[in-house]
Amino acid sequence: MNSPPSIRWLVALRAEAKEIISQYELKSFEHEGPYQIFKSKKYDIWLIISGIGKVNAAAAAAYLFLKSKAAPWSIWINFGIAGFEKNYGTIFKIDKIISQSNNKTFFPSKVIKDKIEYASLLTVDRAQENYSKNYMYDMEGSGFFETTSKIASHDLILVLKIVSDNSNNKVTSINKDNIDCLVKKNILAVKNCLKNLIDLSEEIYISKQKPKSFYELTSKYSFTFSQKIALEDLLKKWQLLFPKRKLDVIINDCKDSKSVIVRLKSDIDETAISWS
Amino acid sequence: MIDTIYIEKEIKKHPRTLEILSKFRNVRTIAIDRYGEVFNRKNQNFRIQKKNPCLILAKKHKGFVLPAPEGFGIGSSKNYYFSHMYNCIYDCSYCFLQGMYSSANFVLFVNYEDFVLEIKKLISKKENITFFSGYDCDSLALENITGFASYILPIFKEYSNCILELRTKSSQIKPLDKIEPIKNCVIAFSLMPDKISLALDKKAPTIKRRIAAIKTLSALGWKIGLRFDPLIFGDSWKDQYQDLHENIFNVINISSIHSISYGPLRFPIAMYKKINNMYQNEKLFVGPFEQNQSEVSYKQEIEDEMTEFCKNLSLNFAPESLIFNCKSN
Repeated sequence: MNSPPSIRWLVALRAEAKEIISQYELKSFEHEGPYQIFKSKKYDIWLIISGIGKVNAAAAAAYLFLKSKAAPWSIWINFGIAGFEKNYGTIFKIDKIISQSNNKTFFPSKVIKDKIEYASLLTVDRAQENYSKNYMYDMEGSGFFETTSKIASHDLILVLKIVSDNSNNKVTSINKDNIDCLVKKNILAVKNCLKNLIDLSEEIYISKQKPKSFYELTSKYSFTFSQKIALEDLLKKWQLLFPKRKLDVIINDCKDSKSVIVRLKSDIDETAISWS
Repeated sequence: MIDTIYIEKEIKKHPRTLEILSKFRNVRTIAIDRYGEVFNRKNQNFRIQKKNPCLILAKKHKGFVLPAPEGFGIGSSKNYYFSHMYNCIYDCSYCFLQGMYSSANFVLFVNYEDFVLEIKKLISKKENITFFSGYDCDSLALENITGFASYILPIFKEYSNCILELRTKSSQIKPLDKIEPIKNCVIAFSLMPDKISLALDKKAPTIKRRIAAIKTLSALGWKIGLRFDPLIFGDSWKDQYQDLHENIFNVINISSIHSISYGPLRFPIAMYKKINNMYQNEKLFVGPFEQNQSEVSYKQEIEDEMTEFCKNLSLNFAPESLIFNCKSN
């Protein structure tokens, strides 16, 4: 099912996934691939556990894209824990990602407004203990974003990180339970944030849809490829000009695809748009 | 409105950057190397970004002043345009910017001085040149932040054989109400009938407010350009354009009109397809359009009839010498 909501989660650890799997009632997707995947009953929400590291994240994102047949309006979320010298337990949206190993910088879109604040992220190859107040540390963000920005709508990619460790909360003390606790504490904010993105995703979905009557007509008449392109355009215009008219009545006497196109075109050409 | 400002590292300490930043409270700033890292990236969506655009402060390195497209002009022998900004706070359905860029963020080039250096290089005493501002943005809409008009207007005072046109839909008239009118500077307003503007010029001042701004500026002594561009077709278009012309010419003294121009609605084919695909319910794209080898436009007979009809409306009020056709988009 590819109509919105169409959501793809990527997390590094099973503990980060637990609450999401529960909230969205995801079930294990049985397959023989290298990653654990979960999906919803309607196949609209998918989650992949990538393992730690940006290479894993990049590969898992590409893998999920193929396995889940993600649509151009799918929302992609990298969700997980990160180090940050301040705000222990707080969730942040990421608007700048720097890959430490190659200095590549990425700028996720900032189209949604909600209560979650923004922060910068440094994706590192090894866990860090010299925490910064200027940027968070993680190990997947840049790999995830670099891949998804090539396969998904740039404005529907979200990187969400919860502060899990800093100089007062050592990385060595992170365990399944406190990760689960941090996720549970922030899950409502995540779901609210997601609502905004789903609205945007729906807009992109709608903008890519053909008029309903397109499918009815193409099943009734045999249109060539170029006629189908013309038909889609004409139907869009016709419906804007005559929102109350019934199309099936108008084309009732059309015998073939060509006569449908001629009829629609003549209706459109004879009518000037009303701006009132 | 603007909650994030991206700043190129190179101009982080530029006085104009600091001045602009001082006008914002609680804004998040993000350092970037070049504006292209954020602006017009693959897979960005103009319509989505338009909901919450960010500001990008950048330095322009080349292409400060460019020749205007063929057919674009208001009487000078040479025509150039420049853009201190890319994108606009308004959201007009016919705007070519949405077909040109995949990003709706505003890019503001803070090195105004470099624009002026290039302009001065082009200015010759022998030739009349018009410089157009407001091609890739609105010249005045963000003036309270950019201060661009305040900067550039006095410079043209020295070059009386050149004309500067500031094209706008804005009804905010600062800094024009605070400075002495400059004879060779034209404040040019994009205009269309009220009902059509309400449907198409989203987030822009109403025609009534634009006409009020025209009235104020002409009373102050500024030269006004009337830009009926693009001409939009629809039912009762003749009545609507007649009302529009009467409403304008009733409030403006002919002596303050610098020029009147009519521009047809035209899109390069690829741009038309891109913009048309962005909208499901935009009446504008019903047309009736025709396509030649390079452009999509209203049918030739409609375009000609509209231009001729509107020109004749203007001739009721103004001499023919003030009227121009601008055929390029």
